[in-house]
Amino acid sequence: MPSRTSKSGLNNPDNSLTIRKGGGLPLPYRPRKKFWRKLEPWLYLAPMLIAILFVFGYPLVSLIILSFQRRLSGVNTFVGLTNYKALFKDDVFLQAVKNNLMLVITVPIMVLIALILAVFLFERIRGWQLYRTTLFLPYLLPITVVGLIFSYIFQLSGVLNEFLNLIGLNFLALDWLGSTRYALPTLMFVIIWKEVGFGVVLFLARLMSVEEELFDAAKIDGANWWQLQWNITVPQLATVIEFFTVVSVITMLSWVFNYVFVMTGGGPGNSTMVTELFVYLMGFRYNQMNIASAVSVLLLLVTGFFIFLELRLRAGTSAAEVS
Amino acid sequence: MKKTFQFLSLLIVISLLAACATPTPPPPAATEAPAATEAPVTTEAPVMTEAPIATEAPAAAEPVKLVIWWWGEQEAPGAQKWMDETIAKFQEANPNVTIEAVLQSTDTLIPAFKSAAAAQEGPDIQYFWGGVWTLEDAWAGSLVPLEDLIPQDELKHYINNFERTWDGKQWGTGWYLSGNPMVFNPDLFTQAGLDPANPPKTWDELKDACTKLNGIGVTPIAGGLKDGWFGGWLFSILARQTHDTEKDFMAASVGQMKFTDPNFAEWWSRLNELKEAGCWNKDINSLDYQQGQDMFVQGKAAMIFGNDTFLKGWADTIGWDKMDVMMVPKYGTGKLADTYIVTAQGMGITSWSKYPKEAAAFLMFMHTPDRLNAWFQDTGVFPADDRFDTNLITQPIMKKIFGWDTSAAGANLENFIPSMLDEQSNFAGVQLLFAGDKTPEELAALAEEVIAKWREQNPDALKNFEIWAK
Amino acid sequence: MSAGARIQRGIAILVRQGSVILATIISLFPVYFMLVSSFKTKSEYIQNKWGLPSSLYLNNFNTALAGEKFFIRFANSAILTVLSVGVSLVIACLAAYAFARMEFSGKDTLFNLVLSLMVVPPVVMVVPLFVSMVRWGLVNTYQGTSIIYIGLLLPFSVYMMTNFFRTIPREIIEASRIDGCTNLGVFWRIMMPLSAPAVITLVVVNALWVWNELLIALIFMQKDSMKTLMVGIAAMRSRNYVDIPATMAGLLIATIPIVIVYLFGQRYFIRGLTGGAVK
Repeated sequence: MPSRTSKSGLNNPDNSLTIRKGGGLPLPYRPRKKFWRKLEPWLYLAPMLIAILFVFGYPLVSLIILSFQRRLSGVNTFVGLTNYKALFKDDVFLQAVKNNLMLVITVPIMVLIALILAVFLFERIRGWQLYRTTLFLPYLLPITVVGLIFSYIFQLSGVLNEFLNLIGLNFLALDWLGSTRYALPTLMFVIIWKEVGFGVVLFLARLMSVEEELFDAAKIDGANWWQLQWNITVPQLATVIEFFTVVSVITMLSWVFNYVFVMTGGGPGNSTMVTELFVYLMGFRYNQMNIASAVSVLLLLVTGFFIFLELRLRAGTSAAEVS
Repeated sequence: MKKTFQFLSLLIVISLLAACATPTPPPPAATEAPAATEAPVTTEAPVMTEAPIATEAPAAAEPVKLVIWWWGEQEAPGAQKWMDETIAKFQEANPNVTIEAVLQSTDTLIPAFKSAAAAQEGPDIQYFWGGVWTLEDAWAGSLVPLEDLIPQDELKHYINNFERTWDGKQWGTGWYLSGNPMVFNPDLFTQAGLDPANPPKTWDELKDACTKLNGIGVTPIAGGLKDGWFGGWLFSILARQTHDTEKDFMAASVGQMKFTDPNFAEWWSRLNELKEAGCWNKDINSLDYQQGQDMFVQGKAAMIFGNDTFLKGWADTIGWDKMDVMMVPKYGTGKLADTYIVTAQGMGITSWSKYPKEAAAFLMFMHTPDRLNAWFQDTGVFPADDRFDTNLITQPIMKKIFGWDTSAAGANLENFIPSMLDEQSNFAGVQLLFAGDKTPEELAALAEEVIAKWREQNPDALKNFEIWAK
Repeated sequence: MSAGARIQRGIAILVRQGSVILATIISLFPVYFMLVSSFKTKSEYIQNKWGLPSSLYLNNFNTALAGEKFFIRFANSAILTVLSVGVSLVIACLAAYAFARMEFSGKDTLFNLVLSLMVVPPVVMVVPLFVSMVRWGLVNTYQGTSIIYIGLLLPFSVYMMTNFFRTIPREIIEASRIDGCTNLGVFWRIMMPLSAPAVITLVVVNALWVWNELLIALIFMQKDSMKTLMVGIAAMRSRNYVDIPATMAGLLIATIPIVIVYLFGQRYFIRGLTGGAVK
């Protein structure tokens, strides 16, 4: 039996298996060690499991259960899919879903803007460090603060319109947040304004770790700016672009509550209603916890699906990378 | 296969663990009967001129903590000062009682309470607007009826009790009155060629006034719809005019009438008429309610659908001579068209409170004459009690309003429809009307759609409304 | 270079500088607006919305600070941030180590499960969470609210740290095992020090999130003495609705700490991201 004090399995010809995947002890084990080895990861995971169970466990289960119930004569009764069916007849809910999808459609635009700005900064235009600092600032500001400031800027008699009137663009001085046509796009603008900085810094950081030679070689070969970006920049940034895209899509589906709550409250006329706000109103204003739970379950399923997809993709590519 | 199995077993384990942690919520405490046996103490009440209700505390030694979640400083500036004083005096008279009063913001007033109700823990006393805003929580089992806690001959002095009555029981007490006069600027009227002593009374006169005011470059009526609330006000003010009683609205809510019936639908067209006549500020959809009200204070608007709780504050800024009040011009002939909208904002005692008797004692203390008069002096707002010393009202405008309160009071319609209807039809609908997105007919149809949806989604609340509508 | 090429080059530079400058102006304008408005009187603001204030009117800051118990709120936010970010960091690193470098059945499934929790919007969980928090007596406590934040921060933290740990070369780990390190030793002596850039980034991102968070703080820290800065700001809006400069002053006060930390700590932040923390 190889003794514990001997050098590692690397140099010990007695071991048929040298280093196990993940770096464990060489074979064979005593049973006690085997048990410990099986248990050990779970000890590292335990705090996380406890925290997650506490915070997510009960609420999620409670949501699922509630979504299949209704309060009839004061008693929680099982009603099957009634709540879900009611949702699909609810215009306000459908409007919310539509709005969330509209928000998701803006993600490519956001990625593109971040990419272009990052590339410009990467090309070391004058003062690029200063610009990086200022472009990232919006990302740090609280949404509450940002939302409030913008709601004053966008008022019909607010700063933006004053400015537009001043330079003669009167026809552009619209009721940005107060008109059903422009409220959602204005909201989109604010969300992009705030989130783009993260993408810029992310892309820039990754770009700066790409070898210069790649770019130089391409330039020598006579590539123009577009070819450069298409053939080198984008592929090199592929994983980061993907990451940023997924994070942004999830944001548009699940993390826009604060923006809407502070800037429009869902109005005017429900034109900026989003699923999170719908859940909030159902649960807290109309006393409709069951419907709120049903919406929550749906929202979780959809976003869960997206992230599941992403992880599958990732598992595929990283399995190929790791070799 | 193995992975799926592991995944599922993980889920099951989590569910089981969570389920074990899911005790059934305790049934709402319907155990108010014991309080009745203590009744002898409360018969002192009628003699309650100056004597504090020290005798309410059952065991004098037991320390009592009361938590009050309230609102009102926003509507009646000066309320905070009054509340602090009242609590101090009550604690002085009842040394074993400590009271913690937390002023909520408008956005969190309701959500915070709903969370507390879900956990069956939180405040002992909660602030509620009248009508459905109190009763929804009563139906949910979060409040206790006051029959055994506050004697009838005390309750009968409180104004507008009907807003909190359901199924023969009283579910809250009124605190102060909030009315909706139409306020106008006499100077601007004069400038526009209108007679301030003779403000518009009919619908056509109102539209004419709008034209004249636009002529001198002043917004005739100002409003702010962005945060939604004002839409509900317009509903209450205008939709009433074709009805005799607020019960019509309860009937329409439960399906005995329809919101598309002509007398329900008319107000949308009338509001649209005002919009077409140029009566409103163009940026109404981009201003919050308070910003709209502020236009009047700044002298930019000649008329405003105001709240009489703000009048004293406005007077402090611009002076009483820069404003006057009028009844809303009429287009309809229902009895409600001649009424002055007034609601009593008030309090309720929660079903999980450990000290309902002490809570009731505090509520009654709020109605002692010294406190009633102090309230008026601190805030300029009328308390919801007929024992209030009306000699304290010196200002002519306030006298006028108090006259309306006592002789022409009518219910605030918003309190008698489900809050979902209020928000999804009134708030959203008025925004859509001013955005030009929907016609009045479409909006009436929308109201009926929303209420049908409400009926389908809320069978329990529907039953309670039906009892209420009788 | 020919003249044509020079012109083309000039245009290219113009486009670059121009777009970046435009983007910067748009990024900074709201901050500028907040800044100048807070020094104006109410009437001055109405007349001159976007110019510089004629004089530095400081009363707005009095109004903003006066009724707001500012310093208590600030402290509450700070305590919550330090507590949640600190504890979640430790928990996440431990778990990430298991995911990145240990073998156990169900690893991938569990990992994916944890990650998918990243998409759960807090608003969905508030009422059930409130119910269980009350049962455990944790409402209006630092511990209680921190636990919620920790739970919400964990999925992303575990994700980031696991990815980063996976990039640490095997050889280093194996070398340390040769020297007789246990798993714990490897964790503490090798993985953690090497992860400094990722840790810094994670701490900053998480701290920012907790500091700026509104909904949970609103519902779970309702007692007046426990309210956070963001909750105070939101309440301020409903109180000073028409006094826009005063509101702006309050917002400015709340934002300044963030900006200062950013300007001074920017190096670490950027370095963290640049260090290949995210692949």
